[in-house]
Amino acid sequence: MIPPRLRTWIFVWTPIAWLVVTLITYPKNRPLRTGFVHLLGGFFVTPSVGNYAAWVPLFLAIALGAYGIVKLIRQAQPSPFPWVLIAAAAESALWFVAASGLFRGHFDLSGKNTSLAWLFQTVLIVLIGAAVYTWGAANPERAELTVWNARQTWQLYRSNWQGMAGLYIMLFFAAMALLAPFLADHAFLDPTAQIGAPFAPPTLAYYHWFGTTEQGMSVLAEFIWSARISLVVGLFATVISTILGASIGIMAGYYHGWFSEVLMRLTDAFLVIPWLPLAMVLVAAWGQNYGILVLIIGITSWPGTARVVRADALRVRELQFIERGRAIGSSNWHIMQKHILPNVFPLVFANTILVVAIAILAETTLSFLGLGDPLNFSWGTMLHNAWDSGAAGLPAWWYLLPPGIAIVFVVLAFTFMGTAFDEVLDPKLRKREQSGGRPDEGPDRLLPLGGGVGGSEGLAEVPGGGIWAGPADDWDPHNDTGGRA
Amino acid sequence: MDKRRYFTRKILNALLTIVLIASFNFVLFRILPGDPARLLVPKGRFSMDAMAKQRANFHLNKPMWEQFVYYWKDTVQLKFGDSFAQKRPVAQVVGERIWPTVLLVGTGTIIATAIGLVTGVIAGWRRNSKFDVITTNSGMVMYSMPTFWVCLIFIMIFATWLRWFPVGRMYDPGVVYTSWFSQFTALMHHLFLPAFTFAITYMGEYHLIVRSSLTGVMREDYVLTARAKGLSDSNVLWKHVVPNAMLPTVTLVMMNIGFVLSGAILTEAVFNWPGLGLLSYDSMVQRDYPVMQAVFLLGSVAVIVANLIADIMYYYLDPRVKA
Amino acid sequence: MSTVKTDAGPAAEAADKGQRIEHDGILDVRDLKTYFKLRDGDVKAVDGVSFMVGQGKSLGLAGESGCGKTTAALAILKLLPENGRIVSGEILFDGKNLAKRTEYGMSKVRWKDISIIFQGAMNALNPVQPVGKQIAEPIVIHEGISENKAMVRARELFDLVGINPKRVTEFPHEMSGGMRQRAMIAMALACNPKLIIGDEPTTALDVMVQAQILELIERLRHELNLSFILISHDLSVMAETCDTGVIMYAGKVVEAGTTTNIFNNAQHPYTRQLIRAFPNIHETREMVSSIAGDPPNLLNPPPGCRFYPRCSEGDPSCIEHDQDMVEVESGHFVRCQKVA
Repeated sequence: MIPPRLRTWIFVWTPIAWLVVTLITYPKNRPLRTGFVHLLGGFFVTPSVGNYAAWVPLFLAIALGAYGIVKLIRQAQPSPFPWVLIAAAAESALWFVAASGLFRGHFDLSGKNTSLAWLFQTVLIVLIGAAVYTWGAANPERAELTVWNARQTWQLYRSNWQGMAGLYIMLFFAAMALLAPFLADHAFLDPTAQIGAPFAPPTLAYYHWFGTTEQGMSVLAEFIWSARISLVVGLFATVISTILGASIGIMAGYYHGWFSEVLMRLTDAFLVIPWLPLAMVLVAAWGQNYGILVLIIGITSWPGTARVVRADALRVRELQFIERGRAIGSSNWHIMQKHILPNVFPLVFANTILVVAIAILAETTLSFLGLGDPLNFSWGTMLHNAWDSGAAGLPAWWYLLPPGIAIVFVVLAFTFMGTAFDEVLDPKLRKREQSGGRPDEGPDRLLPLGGGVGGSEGLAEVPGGGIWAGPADDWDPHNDTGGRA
Repeated sequence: MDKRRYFTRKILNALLTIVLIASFNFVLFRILPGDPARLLVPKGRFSMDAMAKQRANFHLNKPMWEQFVYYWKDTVQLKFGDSFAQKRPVAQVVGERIWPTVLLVGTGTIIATAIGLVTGVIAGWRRNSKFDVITTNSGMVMYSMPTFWVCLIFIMIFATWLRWFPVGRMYDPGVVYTSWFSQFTALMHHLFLPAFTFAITYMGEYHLIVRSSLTGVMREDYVLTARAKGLSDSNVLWKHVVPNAMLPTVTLVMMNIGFVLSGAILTEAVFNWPGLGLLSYDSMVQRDYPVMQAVFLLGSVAVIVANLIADIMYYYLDPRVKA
Repeated sequence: MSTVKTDAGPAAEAADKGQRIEHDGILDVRDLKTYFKLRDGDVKAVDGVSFMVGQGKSLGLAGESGCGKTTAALAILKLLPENGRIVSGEILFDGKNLAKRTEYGMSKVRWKDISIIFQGAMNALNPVQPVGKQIAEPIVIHEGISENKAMVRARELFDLVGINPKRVTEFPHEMSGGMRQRAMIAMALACNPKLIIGDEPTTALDVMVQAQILELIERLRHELNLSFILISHDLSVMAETCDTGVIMYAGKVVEAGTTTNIFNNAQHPYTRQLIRAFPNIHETREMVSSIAGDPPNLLNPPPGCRFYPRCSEGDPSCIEHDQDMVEVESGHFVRCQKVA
């Protein structure tokens, strides 16, 4: 029986996920004035929704299929969960076939040949929701534990005002990015879409709120649409950086001997290279589009994460239960995956959020120097255009202030959130509520350096550690008296 | 371990990293797409003869490992070839840009350190006081601001609106200075805005680091012992807490100095300050690869050397290192 | 040698007038209450604790982790963290009430009259300063002599505690654990205090070194006529070295008296269980008994006897009203209505 709370969460969050994912690819050519019905239609029967290159559903199909098959083989009792995963994988494969034009003669891995992508996407999201549901039904205790942990984390997080402020700010900008098609007509970004004289100051008319650019285009429109690029590039770059950095960090921290040494040498060598000149050279070599930028930022920022993760992995490695695991013959891979990773995870998670801040700053910097995609707008690109055309000399403050302020807010938001998560996920940093002991306030263990300062103080020495240790063994969620009688 | 072993180890380490980086440099500029000889001929001057000449110059017809050897021979002698844009030896071009960057970064770092460290110590010592809340949140905001944006805003406010400072450059073009003093004053006048802007971002960072380090140290038992001994507050702070809290800060400051190149690029570009940073940017825009290569190597070496100095300083600051 | 005094009036008045207050022994703590301010309320870490240390005598303060013994010790020297404060009670030392002294006044008392040895001297010594310098520091501050002269005294102190005086220039990490603890003892003696508080001075050490340190403390105490408060959760240590003892539980004193009385004639159920929890080497082998349950939450302590939930001899009347200390034999007090 699935825990009721989890069920509620699934029913609430699956539609929200669908909404968010659809908004990302909502058509850019449906301005508000075309009416509500037309706008609603934009969510469905349009070619642009879900219009990813064919390799995206292929990748999903493979990932889901592999995961499903592994779960199928390994499951203790028969349950529908692996089957739902396999069904999702199959649906994704179907999507891939449709998009790539596999059976229609013109196979193209980056093809976007189907107009039914919106349907495939919707069905996939529903299937994933169903998968989580069946998982919850098959593992009620694990599900209960996960729900409990998540709620605890959230309660703790909520009491941190900086974390909440950061969250609200991030949500604001995320909303601006997602709702961009509704907030500003994409047509205004066209080089021919002048709305007034160049460098005209702001007026009360909607698209003139932030005045005009050096070409007479709407700063507001550019500003709103730039949010997407700035956030997305930052996010994806962080994903790459974290995966690389955490893997290398865990391996470097766990293994002894020459392998670990080599990894550390590599990391230190990369840390030494000044990232901006390196990034500039790579852009010159590989081209100027945001995909390349994501890759470059990811590649230049992983050493910081690796350093931090390695320090933590070193600490976890020394914990008792790791030795026990080795004594009973667990393989290295198993230990790293099942023991080291969950214990290192809180630190990695908090660090990741901080890396997002750095990645966004990095993208802004590169775009400012003119290395961004000339066909798209990001806040950095806006500032580049402003600088290039001498906005500072006018001074065109309406052009210079909004993008910069937005960047500051977004970076601050992620910094706050990262620090808040750090406090939340490491029990030693929280204010202790014992008698007698000195209630302490934690130091800021992670700072927005991309490298962190100092090591962590350590989680409780329980497999899973800290808050992930969950409630006591005899805890019965249905009979919780809230304390011993 | 004793001094000689420690230092030898660190120096060897540094040399090894330099070798690695220089090799990486070699590889990096060979992965650029297109015929390298073609790239080495500046645009608009293309001819088969020019290409042949560059091929000979850079030994591009020889096998890769031979090229590698030649690369090392040249690098060690600081022969980086000729810059396209300026038709002069790269070493010369780079050489005359070093001082302006040192001046800018040096001044900026001094300002940032002086202010950031002190406010960090006071804020950390009096946690959650008004001073702490104001300075630390300001520090976080400053740390979140992109350097170049701060530069633009400051130019807008102080140069364009208020006209207190010039818009950029190191000296006003075409002006001849009659006395040393007037030249010095002009230099300071031009230096202030860039140096101060450069300092702002780092100030925030140092404040946050020092404050965090301080809080960690304050929880240690030896601070309680110091209080128990009847030492005054300031005594405890400056004699016991700060010497311990400064250790990670020292490393950080040195590292930042090492990252001179990255930090300075943006400030110099916006202020048109004729240093290494601006050179990096210009050479990238102009695709002046010999210069880019040299600057890249120089930047990395600067970081390595700065780290080495930090290690040496650490040896004298933290007695536990000798163990 | 009574340990209970309940009136505070005359003492408080006398303190305000700067007069000398009469009290027993060298340190007389009366009804001390020390609370910590947390977001959700006050943690009543020390909730009405009284004890007395006689001149040249040693008092043992025992109890499990979190019972408030360290907090009481820190309160004596007013070394509580920011959110801790002395709510009420008196700490009478040498005729003055320390609870009411200003920070400036306390800085004159600290180390000069009362010093403290912390648990785990690895962290209690500044890692970047030579140990000798740290010993000389309070001497310079309190006695105003030059650092060179203070270093001479530091060398003497090292000799006194059994460390080679040449090692004064060493750093803490260059010394072994036992040696560091000795160095801390040397440091505690630096200004010739009248009272030394030892907060679990031997807990972090292995048994052999523990014995040496205890022996050293005993010897010094007799040689220099020091008064000593030993805080420990290890009853055996207390039994061996202290004249009088106080057992604390959940912020209150539950039993007090001479160590002979406490050990031979333990009255409070908690004390008895505590003693039973230490296996006796002479008796026949039996299962080590522990006390089931956890100490109460001191944010909102339960009414009446705080040990009631874990007590095997309690009845509902125990939590109806607060328990008072009752004298069961001369100088031996117990806070339990079952015993009366």
